[in-house]
Amino acid sequence: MYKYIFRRIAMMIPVMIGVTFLVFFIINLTPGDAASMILGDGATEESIRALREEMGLNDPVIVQYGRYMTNLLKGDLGTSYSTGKTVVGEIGQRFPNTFKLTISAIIISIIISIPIGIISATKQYSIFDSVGMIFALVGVSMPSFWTGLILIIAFSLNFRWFPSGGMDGLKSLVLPAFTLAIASTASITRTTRSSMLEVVRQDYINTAKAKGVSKNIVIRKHALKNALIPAITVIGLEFGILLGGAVLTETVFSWPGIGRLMVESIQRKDTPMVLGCIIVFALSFSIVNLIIDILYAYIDPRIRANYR
Amino acid sequence: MKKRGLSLLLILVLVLSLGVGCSKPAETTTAAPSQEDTTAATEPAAPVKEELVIALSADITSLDPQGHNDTKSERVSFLLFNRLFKLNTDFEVVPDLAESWEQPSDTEWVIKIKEGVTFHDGTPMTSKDVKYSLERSQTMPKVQHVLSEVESIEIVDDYTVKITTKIAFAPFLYTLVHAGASIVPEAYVESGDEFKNPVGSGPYTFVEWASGDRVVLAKNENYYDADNMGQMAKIVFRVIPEGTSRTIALETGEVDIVDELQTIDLGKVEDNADLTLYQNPSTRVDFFGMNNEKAPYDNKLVRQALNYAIDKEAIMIVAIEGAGTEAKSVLAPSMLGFKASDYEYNPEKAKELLAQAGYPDGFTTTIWASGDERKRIAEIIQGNLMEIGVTAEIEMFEWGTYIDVLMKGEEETFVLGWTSNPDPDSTITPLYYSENIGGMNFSRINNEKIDNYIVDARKELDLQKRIGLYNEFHQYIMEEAPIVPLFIKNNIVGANAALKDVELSPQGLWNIEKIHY
Repeated sequence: MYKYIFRRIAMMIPVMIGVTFLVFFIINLTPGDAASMILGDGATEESIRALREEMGLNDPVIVQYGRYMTNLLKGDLGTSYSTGKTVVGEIGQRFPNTFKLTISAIIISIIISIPIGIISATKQYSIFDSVGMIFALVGVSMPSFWTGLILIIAFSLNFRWFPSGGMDGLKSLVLPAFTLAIASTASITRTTRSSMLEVVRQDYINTAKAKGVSKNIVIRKHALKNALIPAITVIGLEFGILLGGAVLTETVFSWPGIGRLMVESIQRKDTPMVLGCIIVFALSFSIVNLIIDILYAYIDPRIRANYR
Repeated sequence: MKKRGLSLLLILVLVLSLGVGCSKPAETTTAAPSQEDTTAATEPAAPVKEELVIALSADITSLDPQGHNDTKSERVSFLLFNRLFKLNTDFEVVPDLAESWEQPSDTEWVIKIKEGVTFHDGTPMTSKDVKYSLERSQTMPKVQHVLSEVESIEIVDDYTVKITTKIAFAPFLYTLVHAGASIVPEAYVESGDEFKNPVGSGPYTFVEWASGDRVVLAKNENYYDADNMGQMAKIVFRVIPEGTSRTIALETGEVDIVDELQTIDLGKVEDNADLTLYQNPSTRVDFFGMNNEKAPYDNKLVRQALNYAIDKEAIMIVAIEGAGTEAKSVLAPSMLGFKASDYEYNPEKAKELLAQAGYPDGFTTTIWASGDERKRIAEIIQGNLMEIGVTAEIEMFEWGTYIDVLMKGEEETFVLGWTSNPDPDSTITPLYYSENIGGMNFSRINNEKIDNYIVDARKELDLQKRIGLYNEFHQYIMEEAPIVPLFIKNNIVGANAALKDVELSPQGLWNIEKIHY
């Protein structure tokens, strides 16, 4: 098992190299010049040329990439073009905020979606199932910026229960976390339901029932465990996506997260910051995937057996 | 057993996340008077607040006044630092740290600075700091252009400096009002703190900057100028990127002022008895540019025709909900020496001019634009042009690409806006001086007479003569008509109705230190 984990971690290295390579080149292909970006409107041709030279922007892209990777290995992601602050420091400030938001959203979705999925499956075609699935469909279909605004109008503007934005203690976490949770709840519910439906039709469930095991235990012990694997996959994917993709929610709720940082950096053509954000996304996505794979093994002995 | 393990893990994650949620102490618990406020919505008399919360649409980029060149960061820099001169709400230069000044010759400025000014760390400000700051400004990438006309800075005595400019440079005092000309304490800057905890001399001191979230300042009780002390104990700038969210935060009382209110929310704020709307014309001119090098726009008559063809009123309604004024020349009316042209919407006259120019049946062209607002502007122009027989296609660009391709000069026509610094020279030089073709002279006008006006006015130290030169410049350039000026967008500020002394300059919210409940 440890060997497997180690191997998986080692596999992350080529992934990271591939990601940085692609992103570095794509950013270099986009129009706009970093030196004139840094110097702003009033810059003279001369000073732009001097800064380009100083920053090594005249070197071939591959040389620039090599330099970037060498620094990266030393833990140096460079300094932001627009703020002059270190990328590591800035991301260090923003990433925990996004993580806080994402983990809350995922916990909310798990708490809501798994039970609904199970009940919907065990009571298929009941009124509960229909209502649950309609909600799931609506939840998946609502864009998060719209959900966010509706929640703000309802709970901040009208009821005044929660602040409309910003990051000010637990209260300010509620609305953005729910906004993010709504979409992922919907997809996790649907996955749980369909995999439960598949499992409860298996022979071994019938066997268990025939043995006289109570329905409750059949569902909880025999069926759920096997049905959870696809659900965990979806949870992992959602978690990974949310870590990098909560841009709209972060914007609507003025949440100082890393998604917003990246979009703002793209607009400012702040290459080191964009690269830094993408590396963090890729890294967190890989780590989440690794954790999910380990969880599979934990839940399913057959998978664990393969790793020995 | 394993199930229990899994649930334990989940509980652990939950507890951890709560821990993270609480680990950052709620810095501004005092900022939540919203509930009490709004239950008593009918009484505008709010409880005495000690804190002013201002919503910004984007985060500041630097606390170093010489490390940025954007208006958001400027708001903060102006509270933390002083300059030798500042602008009043009418855009006139008034002394700040300067006590008096004289001009021994056309290129020399001797400035006496006020005595008894101390920085936030208690050290006194002297001419050494002034020299240091202005020289530093010339070397800092973002603001090195601000004082580029300065040749040398000499210390005369502890409270006097002599600044020599390279040429007789009329806008000199205007360059000293820029945030990049802020006076920073030499000892602090040299200490290597890199403005993590900036020390200035301004009416407010630095407390905290949470990236992407907020900047917190506290009143400087030892401010040198007793008449212009900060009014509120604390000022918090909150970053709220989404326009609707900004308006809602104002409505719920979470913020006291919204610096840039969305035009679509104008009515909402106006109709709300608890809120007040402040508007004044900005220095930003939105314009329809033509590539003066390309046919048919190399023909003056065609350019003039288009100045008659475009319905600016309709554009303002569609693009900015009417929150602006029609632009009558290449600059905003608040600028020195402004003179309006007499173009008006008159399609018949436009057709006549086109016929005279040799295009009685019109022609086809493309309009380049970027962003939603400019797209709407382009669509109205497209309709206007159709009326005079010109068929236009619209081509959209991503912003970064847009500026790049415009500089290359491949465009036929384009929609753009330009926010001016206080002195006219800083706008007309980049936009209309022939040497800047390939740079910001997007309309690519190359006209000797225009060049001469720009250079002469820059050198003219006699204010009245300078105004006269600019008057002539405006008249001449609008006759040449390199662009069609469209509108001057208003600065729109929404504020709690109980706030007093909210002032706007053409650059938006002004003298923030004076605002109070």
